[in-house]
Amino acid sequence: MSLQLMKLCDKVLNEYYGNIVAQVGKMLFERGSHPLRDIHRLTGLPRSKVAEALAVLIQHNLVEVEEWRPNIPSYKLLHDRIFLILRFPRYVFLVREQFGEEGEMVVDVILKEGQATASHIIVTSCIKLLEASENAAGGSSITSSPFELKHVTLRNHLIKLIENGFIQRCPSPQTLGKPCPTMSIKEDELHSFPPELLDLKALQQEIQARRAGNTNPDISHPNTDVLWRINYERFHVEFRDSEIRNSIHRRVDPLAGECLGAMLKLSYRTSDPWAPTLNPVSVAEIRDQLKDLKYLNQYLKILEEQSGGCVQLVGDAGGGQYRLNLANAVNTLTHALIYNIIQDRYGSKAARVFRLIHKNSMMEQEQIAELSMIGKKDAYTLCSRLFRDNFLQLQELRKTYAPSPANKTIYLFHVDINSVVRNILEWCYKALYNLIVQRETRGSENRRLLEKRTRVDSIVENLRQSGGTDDQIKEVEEMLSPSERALVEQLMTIQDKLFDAEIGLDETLFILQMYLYYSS
Amino acid sequence: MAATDLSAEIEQRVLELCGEFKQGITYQIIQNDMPQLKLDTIVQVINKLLATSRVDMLKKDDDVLVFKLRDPGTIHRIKGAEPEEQVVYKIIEECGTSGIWAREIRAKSNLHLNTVEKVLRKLESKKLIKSFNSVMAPKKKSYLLYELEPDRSLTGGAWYSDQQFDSEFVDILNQQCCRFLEDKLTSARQVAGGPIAVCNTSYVSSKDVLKHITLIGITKVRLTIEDIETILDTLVRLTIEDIETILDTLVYDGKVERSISGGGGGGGGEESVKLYRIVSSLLPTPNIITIPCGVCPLIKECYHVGNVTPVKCRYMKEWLNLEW
Repeated sequence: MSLQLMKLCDKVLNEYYGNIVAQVGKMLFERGSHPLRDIHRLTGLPRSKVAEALAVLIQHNLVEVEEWRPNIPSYKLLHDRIFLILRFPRYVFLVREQFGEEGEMVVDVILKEGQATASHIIVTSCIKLLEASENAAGGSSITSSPFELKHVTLRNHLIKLIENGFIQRCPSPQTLGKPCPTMSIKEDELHSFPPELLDLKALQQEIQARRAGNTNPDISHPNTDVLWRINYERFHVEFRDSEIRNSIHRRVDPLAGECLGAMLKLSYRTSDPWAPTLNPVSVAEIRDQLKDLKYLNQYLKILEEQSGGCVQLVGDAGGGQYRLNLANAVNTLTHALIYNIIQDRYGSKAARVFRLIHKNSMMEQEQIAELSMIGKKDAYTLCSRLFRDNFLQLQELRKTYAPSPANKTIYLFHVDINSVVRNILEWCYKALYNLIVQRETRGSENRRLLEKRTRVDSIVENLRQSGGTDDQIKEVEEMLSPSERALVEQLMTIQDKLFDAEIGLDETLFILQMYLYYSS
Repeated sequence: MAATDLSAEIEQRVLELCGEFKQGITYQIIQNDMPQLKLDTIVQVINKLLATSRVDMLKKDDDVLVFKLRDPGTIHRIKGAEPEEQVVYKIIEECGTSGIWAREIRAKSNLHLNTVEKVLRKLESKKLIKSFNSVMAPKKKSYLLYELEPDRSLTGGAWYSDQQFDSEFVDILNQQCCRFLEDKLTSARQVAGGPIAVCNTSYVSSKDVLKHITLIGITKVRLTIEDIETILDTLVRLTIEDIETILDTLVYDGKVERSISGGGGGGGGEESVKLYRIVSSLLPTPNIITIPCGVCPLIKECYHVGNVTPVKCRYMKEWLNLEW
């Protein structure tokens, strides 16, 4: 909870859901959980608008309903979820890598909708896929037979995603008719897909009706009250594992990374992926997984030594029992991240000083200069610069509190990683906010130009569809002068650059958040 | 008188013993040599010898007193000098290689500061003592015997030239060590026999690093306009400890990993060796550094209102290739 985070959340909500939702979100962020009446009073928005905004937020899993007083619900903002919206492209990308285009489309639809029924997901993504393939084919001559079965493949993908835990079932209200429903769900229902929920025939009918241009066909599906949503944690497990694997890959070699990956997979069979230490796996099990790996035992030994406390040998049963300590792994990664940030921002000597202090916990300036082999003056400057930016902390040691020149006060530098992490986190929020503001400004400064381009593009598109001649198309295209065209190009590259930076920044954020998760 | 004869005899014997044991003798040795003597007599004799400054009394680490024959040269050199000079010379001599300040000499000798300074000048001109400035307190002059080299803690060892920390020299060594270790890793990667073999061959002992550094000849020559002897002295010799300090800075840079090997397998008497090995960082460049905000010196002052705002930011515009 911080000012930067609030500003960031406000920006994100504004961008994705509009002004009113952002206002409600901001109020809830500032003041915590409140009932509808108070939100209405405090934001000064009409009651109906507030209700709509809350509905949007609930639909997108950003607000939770709590019982505030008997029979009066209050609404609580889940602020951590808000900037996960910025992580959506990464989720989609991950699913694309693992499940292909169909999976990507399914997740994309769910992310856009927040919560959706299976039939809705399948129909929407099916239509989108068909449209995309039509555009790619460039004409209307679609061979219909393979596409008929598209909804079946999509259903299979959806089920696969659900079974792998990427998508979960939303809890449903257990007590109907009460103003504050208690939402709950059974553990085993969370990630299983009951086959009776889908009527394939109805799906096909709806797809065909939609394709024919009927936007609201009257077809009923048997699953209207079962909603699905994204399971963020499952994605985060994947992200975290890939960070750990990549770090080993960089430190040792690709095979070691693979080895660690196999160990992770094995551990998940028996343990909760979010526990700080996973249950041990035996060498025999690992060997089963990695039959081709020639030097498995050697790799395990190296992993034990070099993974920064991630792989620990705990026993000799079954050829050796190895335990994965993910809290340690994340710790090591965070330290590496902080060192890298300091090195790149303040230079390698500052990083040396920081690491030296971090390793030796409490240090005096004289010692720092001596051990880091930096000139005394330079070392002092570096220390004070790091101190100024809150990377270092100072501990004062006095023999007595009476001020006297004779007893010199000793000042010891030390590092509080937790505060450093929070510090960098704040800084990331700020940077992210700045990037979004920059992107918005670039967009709004050139709004007219962009609008013109969209208009021209759509006219050209229409002409193409209606079979206009090349001359006509060219004429319309010339409505945009070459200089305007160049400007649009430039603008697009800038927007892309900013967007890429936002996603990149999220990776840094992710590691820091993992650290906070494990340290709490 | 028989008593004086006896004491003269004992004196002679003690001096002989001192001559025999160059590193000095203890009470125990005298006692063993002449078991018939009482402790009192020995003390008397020793005191006499000390008073005539023919032996020196020194204290070992374990608080055992040791007696040593006084170097006849020193007696000779200081002979005929004024008593003040003798006193001051003695004080300076006692301090050995660590040197002593004029002020402390005054306190110890109970002489007036002016006298001390005069004596010091005189001794200096006779080339019996010399002065130097310590790196710890560059403004205070310390004195020590002419033929001694100041202690490493005072000259700062290899890392100081002219009382200044030579950071360039350190940086060059740092880079060279790093390069050497990198080469080792590349050659180790070609070793067949599994990852552990690669890991082990990429470890280098500090001794080898030192050998390499001496071989490529990065040693500095500090020329002063003194005689040829000084030039020989100033050719800074790097020791194992020096190289280890440099390698440790690499450890703190996060580029190198240190491990200690337990004396080369079964040798027993061999000392454990510090081994170093280059490692790559666990993470690539963090993404926050690749955007202007990551390296922005004004990030703390940046808000949505005021003079520093993301909209007006020059760094951002430069980064996006916009004119400002």
